[in-house]
Amino acid sequence: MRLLVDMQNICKRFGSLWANRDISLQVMPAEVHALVGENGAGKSTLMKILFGLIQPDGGSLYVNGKPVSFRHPREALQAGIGMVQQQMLIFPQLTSVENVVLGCEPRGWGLFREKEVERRLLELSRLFGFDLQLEAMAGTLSFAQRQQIELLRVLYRGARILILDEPTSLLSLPEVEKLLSLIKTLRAQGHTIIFISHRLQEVFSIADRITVLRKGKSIGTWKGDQISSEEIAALIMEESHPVSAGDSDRIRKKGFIQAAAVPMRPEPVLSLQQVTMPSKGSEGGLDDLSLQVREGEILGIGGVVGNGQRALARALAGLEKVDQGRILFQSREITGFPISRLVQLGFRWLPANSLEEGALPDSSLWENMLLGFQRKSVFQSWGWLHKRKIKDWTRQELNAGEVVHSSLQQSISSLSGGNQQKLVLSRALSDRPKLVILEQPGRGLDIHAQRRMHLKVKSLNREGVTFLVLSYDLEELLALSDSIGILYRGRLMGLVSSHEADRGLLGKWMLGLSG
Amino acid sequence: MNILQLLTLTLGKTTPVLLACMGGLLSELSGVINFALEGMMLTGAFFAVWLTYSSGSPWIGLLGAAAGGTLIGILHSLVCLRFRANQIVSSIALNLLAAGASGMLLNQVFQVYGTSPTVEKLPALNQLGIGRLPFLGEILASGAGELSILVPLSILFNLALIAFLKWSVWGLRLKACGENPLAAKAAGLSVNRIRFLAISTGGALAGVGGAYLAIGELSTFVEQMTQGRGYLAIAALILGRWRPFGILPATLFFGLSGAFSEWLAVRWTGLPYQLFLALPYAVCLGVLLFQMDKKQPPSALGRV
Amino acid sequence: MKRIADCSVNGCSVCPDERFSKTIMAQSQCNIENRLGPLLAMIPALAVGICFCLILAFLLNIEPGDMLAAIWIGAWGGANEAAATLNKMTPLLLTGLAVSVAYQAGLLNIGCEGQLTLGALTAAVFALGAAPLPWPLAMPLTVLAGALVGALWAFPAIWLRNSRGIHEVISTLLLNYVAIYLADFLVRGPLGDGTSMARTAEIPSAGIWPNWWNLGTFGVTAAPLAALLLSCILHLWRYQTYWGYEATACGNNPVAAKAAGIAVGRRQAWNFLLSGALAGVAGALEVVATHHRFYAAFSPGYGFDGITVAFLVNNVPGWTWLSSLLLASLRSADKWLQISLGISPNTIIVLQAVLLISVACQAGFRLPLSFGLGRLLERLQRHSNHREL
Repeated sequence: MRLLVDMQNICKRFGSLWANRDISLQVMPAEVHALVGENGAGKSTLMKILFGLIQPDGGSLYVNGKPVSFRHPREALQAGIGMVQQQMLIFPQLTSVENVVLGCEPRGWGLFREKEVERRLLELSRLFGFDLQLEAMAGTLSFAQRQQIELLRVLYRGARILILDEPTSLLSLPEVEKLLSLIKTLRAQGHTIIFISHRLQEVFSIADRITVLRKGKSIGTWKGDQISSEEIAALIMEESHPVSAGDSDRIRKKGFIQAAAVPMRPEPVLSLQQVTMPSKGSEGGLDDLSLQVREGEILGIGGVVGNGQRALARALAGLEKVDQGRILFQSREITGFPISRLVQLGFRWLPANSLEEGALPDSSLWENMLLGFQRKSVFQSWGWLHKRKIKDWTRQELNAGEVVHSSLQQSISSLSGGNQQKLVLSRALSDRPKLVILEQPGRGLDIHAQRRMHLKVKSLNREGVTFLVLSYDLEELLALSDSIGILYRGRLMGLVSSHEADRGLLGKWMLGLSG
Repeated sequence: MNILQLLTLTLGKTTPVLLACMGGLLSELSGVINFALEGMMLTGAFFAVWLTYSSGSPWIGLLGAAAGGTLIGILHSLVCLRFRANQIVSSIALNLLAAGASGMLLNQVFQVYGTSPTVEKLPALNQLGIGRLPFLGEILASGAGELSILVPLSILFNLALIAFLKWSVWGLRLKACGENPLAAKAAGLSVNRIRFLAISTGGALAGVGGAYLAIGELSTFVEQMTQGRGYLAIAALILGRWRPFGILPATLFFGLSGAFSEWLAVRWTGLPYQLFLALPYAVCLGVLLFQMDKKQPPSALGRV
Repeated sequence: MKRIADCSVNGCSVCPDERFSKTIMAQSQCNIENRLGPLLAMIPALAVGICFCLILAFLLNIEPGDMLAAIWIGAWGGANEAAATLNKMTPLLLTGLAVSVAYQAGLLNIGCEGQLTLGALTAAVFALGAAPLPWPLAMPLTVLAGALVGALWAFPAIWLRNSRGIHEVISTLLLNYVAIYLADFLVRGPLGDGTSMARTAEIPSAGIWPNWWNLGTFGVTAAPLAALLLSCILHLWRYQTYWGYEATACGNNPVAAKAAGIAVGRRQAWNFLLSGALAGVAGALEVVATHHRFYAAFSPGYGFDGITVAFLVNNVPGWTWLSSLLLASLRSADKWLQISLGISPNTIIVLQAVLLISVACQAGFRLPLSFGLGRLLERLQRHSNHREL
């Protein structure tokens, strides 16, 4: 059979790291080809090379049997290759129409013919069942709609080969199902889809063939019906060193860690009473939200992106003031407290993107560990910092938190993403906080690192730390939390213990359907 | 002094700021901070006088001014896009460069310090032979005829810019680069090339603004003659919320405050003249307190 | 360094000995970069500057050697020149510190010129009014008054930024013009000495700072020493105290700093006011040590030079002496360039712009340079590992 895309011995080096090393990938016409592997295995790099965003250091590329080399995405688009990237590339202050057609606008006399495009787009939207407002500013749309913009952008250009880089990571369960059925429709129409995902269930539900990458190398390609998900998981994880003997055995057996049955203590440590916050951009606000977090529990809050999770985190972290309502901590009102007071009370916030929101990117490791503790009397007297003490403490904490580093002077941006997150986590947990708000803790971590993080959270929880976990990933919430609540349009749809949680019910709640 | 005279004065004061502001708009909509308008104007002013002096035609001087502004624009885009320097620091350095280089060249070309010899001006409105038209003629006769041809031209430029940004494909692409350069690249655009063109064209516009000062209003180059008008243009850009049709009222307002202070200076000669010199800047600071519109600056402004 | 970090992602373990040797290598590299970072930024810029001088000399038909020699002779050719250069260093050092203190907190203070002018005027007026006070009281109070007014003039800018989101570069620039016209008005009107010279009366000798070193005819005043002392204090403040740490954190990542409980707006405001105060001190010292009275337009752009001073050494206060010395040399050489070679003194401003641009461009150059250094160290380390085996 003729190959549609043939990548041979692709190599790419970033500094001293091989992102791709002699990777070969063959894609057939009209198939769904899944690429799986850990973080940093080189999936995105390989696809960016195919799309012309990155130029390879070596290897050759054939599309439809003809040798090509793309120096710019423009050339890839002309060859019928389109890519939907992980971080939803949209232009917030342009309309949906402009977002879609940018770069190949139909024009007469240099002027943009908007009406003509709109007709075409309406047709396409109907064909694929999209619910897009064409005149709306893209910045005000939900993540699922932004993704539709990106899909339309690719389809509008008539691309036959679609690269989808983790398209489901920001979608809710029902939205994911919709996307997967769309992919099947596209395949039936003769499109070829290259699909990158961490979630093996999704991969197995649609992929015709699966290629596994590990550490920049290709391990092999299998037909979807000839291999089991356990085997694929083993192929992905092989050689990874265990967390520690006992724990890792348990993980391997169970797949995901089951929530431990901790006896519930009745008194709420934190309670929100009718809290209202304005919506900000596409993030969504809070609408009359009442919520109680009990001492010593792990409460998970899920929902579709843009339904107020972020507003909740920012309100609790003290980053934004609430419009109405009260927040009580240990039956004391803390509404409108400055962040420094909240930190003193034992609140810790772990942002979704640790380097951008939780670290000082140009500063050294010890300076990053010190952040928030610089006024502690152990570390300073009369304003003068005791650097020796700080560094000793940092070294101790980094070793305990298994942050792999070479020197305390190196800057945090020279660490890998996982280690950056570990550092921020160990900083937040270093002084026995009372309440930790974890925002999308698993984002950007591979399965292995996610499990280690879950173990850490569990063990601290056993020592009495209360956690509030905000995540869009239902699997993660089910694995981590004692009880799960779903936010819809800033309101709590319901709260259920995670043993009794039923995916169908949670999915309904996410869409705003009760019962 | 009557209303018509005040209006004339306002238009005269508005023109250089409006031209520079359009230059800044092009650059900032494409996503690059441009505080170097001051330097672009100053270079434009110097080149205008230099080329008018050596060629004898103020129109060639005008072209030279555009080229001079473009030169600073090219340097700015080179430093910011190729070398990824801090865009504000680059702007400040280029303003410094323009101030130093224009003074240095003034000495090299004309062997003088401070002020250049006088050169021919661009034609004023009543030199165009439209004075005999019924309604227009009366207005021109009452003082507006002294205004340079660049005044109506700048307003035409502004209209053209509005149309360009609203309806043309290239205007859309320009805005896209300022909104999300990564997405623009993925959509097949050459972001750096578009930004480069935007900044250099903007430089040409700001250079023409400088030419207005040198061969439109006066007929000579004076060291530091722009007097912070480039910074007023940036303030007007903020006040106009980065909208092509917002900067016209914003610059008109600054023009009015400049004209008003000059009018006051004629009226009350007893008051210190420094008050009138400082007034436009103080008014500008005061006006920045108010934000007219909710529109945000370009989303990726300042990011390479 | 990078490789170790990457290893950890993929989970391979590093044996302790190897890790130890890598740690040492990485540490030594970091220490070199930390301690000599400002120098590493300055040397390439200087090289570009010298190249620029040579090209300029070629274009103007001057012996290249003559041009460099003229700069040297103008700045350090004799006792008088050296003394003048050292005295010029004071305002440059202080405005450089002012810019770097603001930049530490992520702000750009382009308004030093205005703050310096008003600081100087205040100091002159205060010294005239404080004539009856004994000198141990009058001297510090005069400088303090200048600092206070400098900070006062910086306040609107930071207030506009924090409450209205107006970029401080715009507001400080506009404030410069207002300050300069205000000082001009005051010194020609109510505060002048009655002549048409646009200056205040000479301050009484009790307020004048004495010479510290009788070099040449005029000598070097104590002001450069005071400025140096200030730069040392600021260096310690920045790197050794938690206030300095918090301010750096605000400049580095305001979101993270805020989430850690640091009052970012307030911390930035204090740094900005300190920056204004330093510019005010620069002006005050010019009055009490050099001019002994306030002239309108006494500053040839010291406020703007501060930006170059600060950025040439990567905004590290402890190294500002070096860049301010360089700029002071250029500043005092401009007259000599004009006299001996007939070049406009504006050449120096162009040269300064070239220095600033080349230092700003290093963001794009730094990467390959440190990659090169990293590869070299990696190779050395592999070599040493082989020998251990």
